[in-house]
Amino acid sequence: MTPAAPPLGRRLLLDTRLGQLHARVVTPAGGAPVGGLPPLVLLHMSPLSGHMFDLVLPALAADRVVVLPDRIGFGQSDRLAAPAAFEEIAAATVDALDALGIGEYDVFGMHTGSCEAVEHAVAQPGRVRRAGVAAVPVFSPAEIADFKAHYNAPPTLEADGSHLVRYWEWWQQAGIWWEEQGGPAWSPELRWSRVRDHLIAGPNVWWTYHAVFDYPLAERLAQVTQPFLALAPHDDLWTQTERALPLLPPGATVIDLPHGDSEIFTLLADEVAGHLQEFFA
Amino acid sequence: MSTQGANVGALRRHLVETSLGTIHVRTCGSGSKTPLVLLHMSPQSSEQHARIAPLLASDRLVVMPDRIGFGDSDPLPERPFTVEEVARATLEAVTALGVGEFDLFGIHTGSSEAIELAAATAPERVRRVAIVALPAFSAEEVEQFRGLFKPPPPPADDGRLLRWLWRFSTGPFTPPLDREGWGVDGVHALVVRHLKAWPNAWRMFHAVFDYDVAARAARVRQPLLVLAPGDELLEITRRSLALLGPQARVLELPHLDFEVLTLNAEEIAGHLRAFLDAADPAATPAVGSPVTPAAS
Repeated sequence: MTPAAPPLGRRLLLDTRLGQLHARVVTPAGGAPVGGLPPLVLLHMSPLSGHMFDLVLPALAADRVVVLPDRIGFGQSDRLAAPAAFEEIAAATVDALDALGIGEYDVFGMHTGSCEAVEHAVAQPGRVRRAGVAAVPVFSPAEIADFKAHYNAPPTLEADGSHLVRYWEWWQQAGIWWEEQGGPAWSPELRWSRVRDHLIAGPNVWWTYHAVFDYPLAERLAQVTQPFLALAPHDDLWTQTERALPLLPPGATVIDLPHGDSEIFTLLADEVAGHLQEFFA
Repeated sequence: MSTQGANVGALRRHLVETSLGTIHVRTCGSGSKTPLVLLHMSPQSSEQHARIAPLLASDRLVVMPDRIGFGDSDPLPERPFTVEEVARATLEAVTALGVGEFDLFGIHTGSSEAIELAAATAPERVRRVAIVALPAFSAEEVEQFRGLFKPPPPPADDGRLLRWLWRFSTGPFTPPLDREGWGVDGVHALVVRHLKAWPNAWRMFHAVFDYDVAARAARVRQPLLVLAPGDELLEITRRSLALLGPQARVLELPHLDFEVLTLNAEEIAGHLRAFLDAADPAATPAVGSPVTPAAS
């Protein structure tokens, strides 16, 4: 979580249809995976990177390979050269898994990563063994318009640097919202980490947000055939998640997390790691 | 990891393992001339070379490491460290890309690193070396700069750290906001590069302050070109020129000051090409009005 700590895992740059994708591959301390578990691919939310999962890595990578791609456009991957459809962005991540020589895999994602995990499950039915998400962002048409207006072009650069403070306020609002729901406060260090990720991701992160809003998640959920896990934190996408619960694949495991927000991988790391270990065993 | 076949201007990114961690390197270009390694200043990254690299890459491989701790390389170690060990890690990265003999061009921190590589780390591998400024600070200057480049304050609840970053990126050693080709875009890019090196970039500055670059520069035996823009480092650079060997050439560029690799990329690339490609760089110094150390 602290940027100064050496990153866990081996870092790789992998060729994809949308440019070079940066990924970390974390292997069990003892070497080979135990019990033949396939690699677990963790897909981050926007505008963060694979580092959002750092606190759960020691538990999840204890007995299997964990792959942490930075989606094209984020983290240390190449930036998008132009807006792209979400299916194309997800396919670029699959290109990277191909380059790693990965066959069968489990996949889990949060927010943007939720959509991507579902897309992987549907587009790679023969390879994805189990799939899971945290939050299920099925938007209504009216919400899509609102969200597109909110997640739009970045603040205009100002000569006094005040546009930088807009980024801070953006993340401050997210934390304040959660405190108002009764959740624990986000520390300044956590907020700083998110602001840092946001600024490093650059001015075009809204391209990916809009691609997510245009992604037909409800239709794609109906095509999922694998065992499916939905963590349901009561975060800023809870309205959408609650709406999506009846749309989940038959037999889906739903775990309600009323005490969790969009920072469950930081603030509830041990609990969430336990849920993932159990489902992806 | 092959670097062959890259198109001029088409960047290829690489990650290589070194003794200080994973180093990220951009490469572009190819050709028969000696590969050229570009070493950036602090707290920047190889993105600093985005304008100048394509101007140098039509007939050679251009290799641009992000120094350990900067850009997309691994973070700096959480301890004091030296220019010498950083230079070794950079050499390991260049070697891992299959580069044998190479030319060097460094700016500021990159100048110290280039001098170290040419004089001590790998003198047998370095053919020619060019630097922007020779940052040989006096004891008083080191004290003054240590105060300027100190650990950043911790994040506070009001986002003031971002204002601190903006002030840092518009302070000493940066062009005025109204400079043609610069402006808020240029400053914002510096802020993002500084964020990538967060929070330990100051340790690299301190390593540079502790490094006796003048003494090391006196040991450089390769052809050496010192470009000296008319910025705050000009007087500091002039002070140490008498120490340099007879093969060294100095080119003062009083009409330039900061961010010369971005704002004056064509001119700097011209000087570099003249120096690197001359049959005898000692007899045929760079264009302009070079001043030999003996005459200065």
